[in-house]
Amino acid sequence: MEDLNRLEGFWGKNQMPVLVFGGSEDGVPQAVYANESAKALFGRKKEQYAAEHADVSPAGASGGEASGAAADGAGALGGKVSDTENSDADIFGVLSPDEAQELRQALTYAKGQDGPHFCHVKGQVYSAVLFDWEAYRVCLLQDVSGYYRDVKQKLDDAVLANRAKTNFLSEISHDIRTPMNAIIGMTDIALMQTEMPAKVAECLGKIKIASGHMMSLLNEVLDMSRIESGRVILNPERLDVADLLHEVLIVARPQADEAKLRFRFRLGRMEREAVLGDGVRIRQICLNLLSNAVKFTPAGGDVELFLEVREAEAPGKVQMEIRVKDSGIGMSQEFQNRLFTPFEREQTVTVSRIQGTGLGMAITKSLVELMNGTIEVESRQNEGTMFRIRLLLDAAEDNAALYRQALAGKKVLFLCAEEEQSAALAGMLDRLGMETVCVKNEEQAVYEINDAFFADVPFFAFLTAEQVAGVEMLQFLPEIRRRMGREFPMLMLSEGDWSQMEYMLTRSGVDAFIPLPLFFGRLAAGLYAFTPEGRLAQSAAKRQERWDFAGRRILLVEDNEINREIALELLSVSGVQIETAENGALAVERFASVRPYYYDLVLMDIQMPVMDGLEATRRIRKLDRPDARVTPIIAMTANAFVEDVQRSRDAGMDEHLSKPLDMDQIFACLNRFLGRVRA
Amino acid sequence: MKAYQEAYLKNLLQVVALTDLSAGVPEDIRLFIEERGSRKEKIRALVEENTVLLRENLFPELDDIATADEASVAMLGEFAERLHSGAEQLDVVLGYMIHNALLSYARRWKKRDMLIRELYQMGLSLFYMQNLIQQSRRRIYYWKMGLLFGEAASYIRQYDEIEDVQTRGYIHRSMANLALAYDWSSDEEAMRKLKAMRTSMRALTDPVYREKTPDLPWDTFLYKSHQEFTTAISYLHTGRGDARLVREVMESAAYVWERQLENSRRKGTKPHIRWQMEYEMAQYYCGILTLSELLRRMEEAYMERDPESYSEAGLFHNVFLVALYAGYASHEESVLNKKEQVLSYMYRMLVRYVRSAPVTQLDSSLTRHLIAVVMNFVEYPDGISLKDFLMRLVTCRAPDNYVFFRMTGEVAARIMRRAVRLAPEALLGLPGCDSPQQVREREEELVAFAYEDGLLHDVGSLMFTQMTAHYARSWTEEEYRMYSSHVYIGKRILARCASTAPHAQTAFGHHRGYDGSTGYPEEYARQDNENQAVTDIVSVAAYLNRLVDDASPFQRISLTLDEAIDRVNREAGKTLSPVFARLLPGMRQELGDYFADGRGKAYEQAFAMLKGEQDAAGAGGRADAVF
Repeated sequence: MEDLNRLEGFWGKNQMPVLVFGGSEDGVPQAVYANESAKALFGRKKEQYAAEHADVSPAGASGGEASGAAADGAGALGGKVSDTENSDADIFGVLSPDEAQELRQALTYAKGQDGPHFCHVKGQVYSAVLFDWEAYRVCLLQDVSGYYRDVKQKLDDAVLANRAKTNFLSEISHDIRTPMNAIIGMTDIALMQTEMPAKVAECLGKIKIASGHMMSLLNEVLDMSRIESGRVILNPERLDVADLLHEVLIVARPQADEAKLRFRFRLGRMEREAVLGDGVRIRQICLNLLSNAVKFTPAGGDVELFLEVREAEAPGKVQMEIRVKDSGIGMSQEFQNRLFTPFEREQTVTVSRIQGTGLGMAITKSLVELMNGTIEVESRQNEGTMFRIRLLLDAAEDNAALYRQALAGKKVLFLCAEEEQSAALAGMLDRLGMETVCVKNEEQAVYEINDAFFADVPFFAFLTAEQVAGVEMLQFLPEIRRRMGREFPMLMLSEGDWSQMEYMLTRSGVDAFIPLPLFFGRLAAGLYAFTPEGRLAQSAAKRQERWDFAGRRILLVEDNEINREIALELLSVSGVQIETAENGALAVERFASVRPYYYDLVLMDIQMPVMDGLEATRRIRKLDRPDARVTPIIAMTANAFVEDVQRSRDAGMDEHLSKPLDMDQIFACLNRFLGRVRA
Repeated sequence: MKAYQEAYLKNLLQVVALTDLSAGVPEDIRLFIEERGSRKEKIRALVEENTVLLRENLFPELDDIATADEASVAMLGEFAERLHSGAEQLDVVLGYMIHNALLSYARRWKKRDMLIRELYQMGLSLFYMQNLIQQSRRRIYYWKMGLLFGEAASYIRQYDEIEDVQTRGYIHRSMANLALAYDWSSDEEAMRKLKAMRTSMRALTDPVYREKTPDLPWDTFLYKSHQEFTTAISYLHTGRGDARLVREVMESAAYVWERQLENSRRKGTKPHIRWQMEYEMAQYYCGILTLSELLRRMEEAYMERDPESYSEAGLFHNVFLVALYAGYASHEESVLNKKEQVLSYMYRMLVRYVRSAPVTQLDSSLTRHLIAVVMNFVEYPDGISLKDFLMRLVTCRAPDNYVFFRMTGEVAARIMRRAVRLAPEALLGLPGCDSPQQVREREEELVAFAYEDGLLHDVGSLMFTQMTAHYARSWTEEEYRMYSSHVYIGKRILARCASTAPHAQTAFGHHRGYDGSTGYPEEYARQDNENQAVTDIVSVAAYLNRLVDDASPFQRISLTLDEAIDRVNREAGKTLSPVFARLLPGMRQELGDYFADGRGKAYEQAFAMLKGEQDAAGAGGRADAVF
């Protein structure tokens, strides 16, 4: 009581609400006194407090305990203030749960911790100032409502401004990209002029590099702003992990090669190869990480990609783990803390020499979080960095049972000098119930083929690595083809780009290609295609396709009369209306002269007199009419190299058909763009 | 055959005759040199004519083989057969090309009998080609041989559908020849070879097939299969093989030997010495004969030889038996030490025999046997060295090659002397040369070494004398590919003996480009060659020599010395060492003097050796001590 009077005497007249806590119970401060202002704030009368606290003394001093039980969670703070007139008074009891929580947080901050601690009580905002007084802990609640509202207003304004900035960036990035495309395209055209003065060529070269950088910057800004404005929506679909990886590797490998880095891929356990996920975004995550690894690793270093898919504990779920590790310059601990903040880049001499927006990691993290995944980083300066991403995805169905049924009991000959790869392949084929005979050179292969003939247990198929030390494949494979006949399946495992090798290898007798790294599903599907069941399924699929594009109109641009005839003949069965132009210039003229959306699609030859297909496409795309950018333009060319495909895409074409035209190929393409296939 | 085919064969035989030294060497050195020049000119004319004949007639035929008429196809078949029938093997690679075209024709028109025959013939062509490069240990043609013989043999499953007796014969022969696609070089290979031989043997002894095709020469097939089985002796010789194999070899050797005895009794001739030796060797592996007893029997057999017989048996008796004897004597060092006189005598007789050997259809057999001798050569401290022996053989077989080797040695020695004086730092790292001072102190030693290196660098080409001398036409890529094996063979030959081992790396690496980006073999690693500077010098010398000397019968190069030096310098840094190539312009006068009469002197040396007047300095000794 004496203590209460002393507290009242000292703090009672204070205009600010004052709460006094005495000692603590298990580290929880116990409220022993509230002045008039505090009581007014919390709705208590002075008498009530006095009655409750008739014998209160600092817990620490008397060893006693505040009486009564705290209600509504106030016990956590010992927030019961004694009052002789109102024994159930509770300073928290009159607060909303949020207010109570704020107050508790304000009161329990660690001693010496900086910064104001705000709490909302009955519509007002108080800053809690805590300090020790004698044996007590005193809390002054300073009303900062005015200041707070002022700051909040500024914050809201800033958020709105930021949102506006994001929207602006999104719009402007998109809009700047269009003229940037033109700048890049025109630079390319200018660079193709052979009679150009050297200085001009040099300037154009620099423009090309700078605009390329500008374009990638724009793309990243656009991505970031889309993510920030919540416009990125995941599109989960059945995803073949092998396809995903293949698409990542065909981009990442050349990047690493160009930077003179050793690139290594490690495949972990692949318990499922088909998952449900947004392939585009997962690929983007992988490529962002790999692109960073390549950028920040000096020549001669290592970059490693690791991928694993394991069954998760939750039924029907799988965990995909992606790890990208490099032996590059690494990051300071300080920078790692703000690594995922947009526009952050480490301020070192090495880093500042490397181009970048500082958005890549922020985009990556945002995408990972969109997928409810996690991203971790381990890095040491000058030693390297490792990113680990874990995504929890749904598993999808696969065809393993179907493959197994068709392939079990069959025997395969595999030519490969690497024991590890032979063992991996044999293991997968064993899962299909198949037998694998592995050989390391031509002589062994021939011996096994002869032996199988004499034993009357011929091989079902021949598989080969792309390169085997000492084996001249281009001599050996045609001989095997001649010996085994046209129907015998011959497949090649390769890390390379099949489109680059297809011409040469199919003429050497290879029927199909199985990309490396080796996936069970790919391998099984590759072999299944050559079983009677597989062949039947393929022809049934072909038979089911009935093409009907009646009512659609195509502009066929082709200078060669015979080729025009062939294309007309091929297309005529589909009901599509075809108009023709004999060169690119006529095509542009024709396209420009008809009403918008007159043509549904343009089939464009590349090499033509007067104006080639690439130029014609660029001109059509630049026409000032609503359909100029959206009408599909399909390239038709015999140049099947990747660079040619890229060139036609760069010119604005949507697809690339190889000559000689194949009916299935052409209709599959039309179906994709015109969408009128009927079963 | 067509007229161009007849003409081609005729020219081919003329070239063979022109390279023949057996008629004797002219008494006078000038006549000898003139004759060599005249022969070379005639050979060049024939080469050009034959090249045109093929380009204008054969190749268009092969291009259009799919639409060829049956008569042309038949004539092509006959032509190919003449190109490498039996042991003649006038032009193995051309025969292979024709059979390849005929095989395509048979596949195209689904002519099964012809297909089986051509599979067999083409397999056989590859066997001959593999034989030519066998000593290089490269296995270029084995797999394809196996594929072709295997495919032909696989028609045994359609045996009853095939009516033609000859075709059935080709099936059995292909089954037997499948064993040729494997050798005894490893246990794995041996297992496959044995399996193929046993499978074939089962089919040959199966009464069902005999009943179905009684007209086939079953006994001959069986006899040849037993002959093939005795080749397992070379496997037993390496200390491998189990009791079953020893028994099979013994049975086969006895079978063959009994047949030989029976035939000779019937014909009143002597049995072939080879099969007698095979039988004796089989007895040795069975433990019936001791090593001493085997060697004694070989010595007895050797003394019964006819030193003027160049038949297949004569070649075996005079040449291959020497290789066998050396091989078995080397089994035990104590035995080898006792046989020095015997072996030295055999080597002397061998050189004499080879010098008189006519260039006949047996040429390839002779070369193979000679290589076997070289590969089993035993060097005694006071006896003939492998180096001298090789040079004598080269001179006997191809004096023009010897002249080229010798000139290369002379030029290499001159470059070395120049390098010691002007660029000693380029020679640092050679054994004993850790400072320019040491290089200068060892000048004479280095010059002598460079000379010998040049002299021996191309010794592997000995195996290809038939191809280089007798293929009267431009070469195909296949021939260049085969010929590239000479560096492997050269290395193997030289690495065998102490006198030649230091030169083995030059034999291996002299065709490999200086910067490692061109030439062959890829396996050559400069860093493994402690004498790499000498190899570089020899490469420069050989390159220059080829440009100036115009030794090739296939094309005229023959540049002036200035042009040649200029060409060498254009290759400096890529194909040739820039350090040594750049010494040449300063040697213009010295080299000009040498080329003015160096060739004549080299021929003089060859002439002396051919006449058997070689002085004690040995075949490899320098005639001109001043470089």
